[in-house]
Amino acid sequence: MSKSILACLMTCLLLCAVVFSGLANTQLVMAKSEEANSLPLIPPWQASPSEEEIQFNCKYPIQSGTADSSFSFDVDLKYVGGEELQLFDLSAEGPSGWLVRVQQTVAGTKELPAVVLDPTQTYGGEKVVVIAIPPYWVITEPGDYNIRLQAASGNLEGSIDLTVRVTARYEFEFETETGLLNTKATAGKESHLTIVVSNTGTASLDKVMFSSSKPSGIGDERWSITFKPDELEGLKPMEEQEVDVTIKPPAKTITGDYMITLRTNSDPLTSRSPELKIRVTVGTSTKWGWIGAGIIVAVIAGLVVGFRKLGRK
Amino acid sequence: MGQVVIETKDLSKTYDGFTAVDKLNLHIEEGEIFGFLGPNGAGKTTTILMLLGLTEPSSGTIQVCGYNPDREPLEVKRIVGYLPEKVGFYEDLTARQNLEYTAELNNLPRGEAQERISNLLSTVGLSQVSDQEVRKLSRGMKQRLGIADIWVKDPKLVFLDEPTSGIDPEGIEDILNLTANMAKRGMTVVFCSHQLHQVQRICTRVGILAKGHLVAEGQIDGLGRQAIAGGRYRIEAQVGQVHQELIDAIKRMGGVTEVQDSGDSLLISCNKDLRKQISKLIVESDNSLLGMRIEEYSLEAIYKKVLS
Amino acid sequence: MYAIFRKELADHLESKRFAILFILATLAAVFAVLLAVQNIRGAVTSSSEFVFLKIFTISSEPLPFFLFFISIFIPIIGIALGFDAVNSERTSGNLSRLLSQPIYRDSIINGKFLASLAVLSFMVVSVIAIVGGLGLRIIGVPPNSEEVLRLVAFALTSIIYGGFWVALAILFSVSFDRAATSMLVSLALWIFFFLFASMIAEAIANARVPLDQNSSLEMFARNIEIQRMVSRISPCNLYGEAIVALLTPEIASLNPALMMISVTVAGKMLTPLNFGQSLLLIWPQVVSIVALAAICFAISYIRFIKQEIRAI
Ligand SMILES: Nc1ncnc2c1ncn2[C@@H]1O[C@H](COP(=O)(O)OP(=O)(O)OP(=O)(O)O)[C@@H](O)[C@H]1O
Ligand SMILES: [Mg+2]
Repeated sequence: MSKSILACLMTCLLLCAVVFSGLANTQLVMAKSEEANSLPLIPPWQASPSEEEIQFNCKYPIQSGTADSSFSFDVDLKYVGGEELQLFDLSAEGPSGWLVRVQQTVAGTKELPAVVLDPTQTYGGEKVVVIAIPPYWVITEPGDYNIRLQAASGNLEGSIDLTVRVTARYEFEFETETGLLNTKATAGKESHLTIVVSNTGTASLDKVMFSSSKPSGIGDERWSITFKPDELEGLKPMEEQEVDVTIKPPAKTITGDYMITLRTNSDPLTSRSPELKIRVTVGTSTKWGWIGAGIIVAVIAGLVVGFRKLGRK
Repeated sequence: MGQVVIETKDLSKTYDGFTAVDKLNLHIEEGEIFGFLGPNGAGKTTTILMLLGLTEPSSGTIQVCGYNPDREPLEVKRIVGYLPEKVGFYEDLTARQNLEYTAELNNLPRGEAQERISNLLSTVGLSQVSDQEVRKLSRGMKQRLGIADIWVKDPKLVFLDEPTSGIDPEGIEDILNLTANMAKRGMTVVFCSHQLHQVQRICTRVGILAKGHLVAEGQIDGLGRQAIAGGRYRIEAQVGQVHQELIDAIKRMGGVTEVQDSGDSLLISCNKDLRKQISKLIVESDNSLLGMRIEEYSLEAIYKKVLS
Repeated sequence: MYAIFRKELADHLESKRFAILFILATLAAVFAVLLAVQNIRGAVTSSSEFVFLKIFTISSEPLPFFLFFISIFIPIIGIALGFDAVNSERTSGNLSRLLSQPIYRDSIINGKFLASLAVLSFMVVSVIAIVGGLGLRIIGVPPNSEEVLRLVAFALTSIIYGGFWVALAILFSVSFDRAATSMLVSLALWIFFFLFASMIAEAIANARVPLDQNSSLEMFARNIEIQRMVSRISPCNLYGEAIVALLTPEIASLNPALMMISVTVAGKMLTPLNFGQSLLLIWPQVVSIVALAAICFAISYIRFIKQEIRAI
């Protein structure tokens, strides 16, 4: 027992440490990326055979994507000017918190710590893949991030700077508080439904507005559906907010199920505009329900009294 | 004697051409038990219905207790009880409920009616079954219930239309006693029946109807005298010794028409009831009077005689 | 007469006949309404003010609707309450005993008629109230005052109609000595009125104004008009017209052809009539039913007064 508690504590501590370090380094990463921007993006291909050098070639050294995607760069390495095969150590580094690896293929899992290059070979070069994955526990701010791939053998070393351009992802979720898509209401009475809007994107949402459509039957245009607040502003990523929906069927609504649709329309940037189809079960208002039952009971009572008074037995 | 209860003059009833009752003159007085006789189809029921105001007479006049049943039917029905030939009751109701309904129809106050009904049910011997449904009663019980039913309104005049048909001898006895009882309480009874000896037992007067005509009416002995003995009294006297002297002496008495000698008794025909005088004469002539009897006429004999 | 009324009322209330009919009628009505309310949302055709009345008028396909049930049950109940009124008294031997009591002869018929009518009213009102209560409980939309008025008028019309059948059945109970005969004759007459009157009307109309594909709308209207007029010999149709007009305020004319033309010309449904206008529309029907009932009652009255009371 004490062992498992200990293990738990350890994991927690570890997690905390990792998160803190990640948060602390974000600023640093930003600074670095600015630096990277000022560097020439595509290093000139040097073909001078007189000098021993290692050449890097990357066709798409800048890649863009949202913070939750992973980026891979195909880099060709070429060793020129030498006479013998040479083993180069490979290392790739990115902003702190990022996972950066050198692999043989995108799909592969093997990391390549080193590569042997043959200077006599005339083909294009040796291909490696640099994988860069932004940290998953924090939302990476949009911006350019620098990834550097280095190859070194003895004195001979070279590097290439690759750029990951993280773009913002606008996305949010829209659900009822309970997760259920039905609710109850009473004719002529307000009923409440709480919906939760959560920003699941990577950027804050400027404005979320709501709209609704009423049941489609005749006379149903008198339904009233209102949202409070009726719009949300500046919802940060990972933040969520509750919205109270007031549903009021008209006074003469026949009991039964009615479909209403709740919609949001957020920034035009957002591709998705989630909607909720909610089944509203309109029940009898208790007053009329009781009066109805009362009438039936009264008739039966009248029957009994009639029998008592008018019958013989 | 008493007050006139029923008086009809030339009462007739024709059913499309068929005369059911023909120029009937009835006269019935208070307290009488009037036996209303006649063969089937003679018109007895028709007469009763007219007297009750249930059927319109074709001609003639009727007075029942001073009312004309045709014009004042309610007054007549209030004081007249009628037990129909085939009396029926509401089978789903109890004996008591049936009587209560009759009381209600007669506007009797509820409390009074209850008491009277209980008394009546015990009078007619139905207290045991008073809360049984009528469907469970026997024919005789229903007939007795019928008598209780007409009694509920305490009528002055009662019509009983064949009340004893289909009843066992004991039941008949009960009904006859009840009828006599009614008369004792001051009701006038008109008793329709084909059971002549029953009529003879309780009726003070009879009327015999045939084909709508009243062919005979009066007290039974009077009727018998008229019908059988040509209106004479016949006295039979048993004496010790029969002398010619005695016969002659009797013959000399005023009113005696004939004396016959039959060995040990004398048969005397006379036009008055001379029993007192004859017995005195026999005793005074030193003869011994062993017995004396005036001839009685059975209703059956009268009935047959009248209708033949 | 009150005594007779009371007794007859008690008899009816305790009879199996009453219990069975009442239970059947209630069940049928409740059933019809329970099924009908399932379709009620689809049946609301305008932003209708008369949602509550719809309980009574809409049908759920395989089963006929409430009005159909009630228009069948009322004659049956009326006949059941009257067919043996007088002849059972006669055959049971109660009639002569009853008539020798100090009551007017007509009060027997009056008392019986009123008792039957009271029982019938009781049933009609109960059934409508039960159905209304049930409907209210289910759909949750209360009737407005006009709907209540219309329902009251509907109940009254139904009672009058039932009164006609009671009067007719009593007439037969006076005329026929056997209860079975009078019941069969009453039922036969009902079936005639219910089924055959419309058929005959259709046949006559088609004979007078034959129709084919290229008949004009006018011809069509004339045919229907004749059909309408002829079928009005049947009290069933009179009643049907009356209650449909009462419970469907959208009906502006009892003539379907006129309705049809006005709808095609105007291109839309007419606005609902108000209560007074509906009453104006149906009063000839109601008066006819009252008159028929009065005629039946008068004939049975005269026959009974003139009748020999002797059991035959
Ligand atoms: N409604 C009627 N129509 C025609 N004839 C009738 C009617 N009622 C009675 N009669 C006839 O009148 C006659 C007298 O009938 P009524 O019933 O008075 O006889 P009754 O003396 O009571 O006979 P019973 O001893 O059988 O009871 C009968 O011949 C009968 O056929
Ligand atoms: Mg008779």
